[in-house]
Amino acid sequence: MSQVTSIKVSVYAFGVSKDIIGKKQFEMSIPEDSSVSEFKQLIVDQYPRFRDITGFHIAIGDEYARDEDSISNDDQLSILPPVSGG
Amino acid sequence: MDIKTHITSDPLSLDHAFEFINDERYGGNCLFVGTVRKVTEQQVTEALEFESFDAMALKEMEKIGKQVLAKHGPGKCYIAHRKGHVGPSTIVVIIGISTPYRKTAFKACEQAIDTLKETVPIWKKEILEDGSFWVNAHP
Repeated sequence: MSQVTSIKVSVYAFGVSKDIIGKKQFEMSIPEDSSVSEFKQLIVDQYPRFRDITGFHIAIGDEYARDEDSISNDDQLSILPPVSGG
Repeated sequence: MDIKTHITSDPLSLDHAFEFINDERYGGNCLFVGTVRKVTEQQVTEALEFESFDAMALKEMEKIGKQVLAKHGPGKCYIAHRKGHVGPSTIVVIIGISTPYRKTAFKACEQAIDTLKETVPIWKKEILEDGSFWVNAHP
């Protein structure tokens, strides 16, 4: 029987995502080998109000991540709702 | 260095932008200046609140500078964005481009502001007389 181990990530929320989650930064445990799309699903499951927004991207460190990218222990993940600078 | 990027809670300066791009090699200078519009259709904006993921936003702005100069250069590119709470008519973004002639400067400037609005992680909250909302957040 295989055991699912978890990793710890640090999550930063910007714009409307900060309002939905209710805080700017938090730690989260996620299954080892999670992809970015699996992480996004976890966020939506935990905070269903994400279904009401236009969508969101994830950054790993300070680069946009692709859905298929995998997440490592201690990664800094940022939730980026649609940008609106300018 | 041909590219300068800047994010600040302090007022933006057109003089800084022009000083940076003004160069004897380039005779076409284009400045785009975005300010806070007070009325959009029927809606009155009291203020805007800009939030930025600074480290990533600066990196994305640098990428924009490289892209537009690769396509329309040689030249120089200045990109600055304001953050925090700002009222109507405040300058919130400046794009400055210089190239040898005007046409490439106009094109580079337009491409830079269009791309900034798509990729740079900065968010704008509209503060109205009777509430507030994050721009682009909801369908």
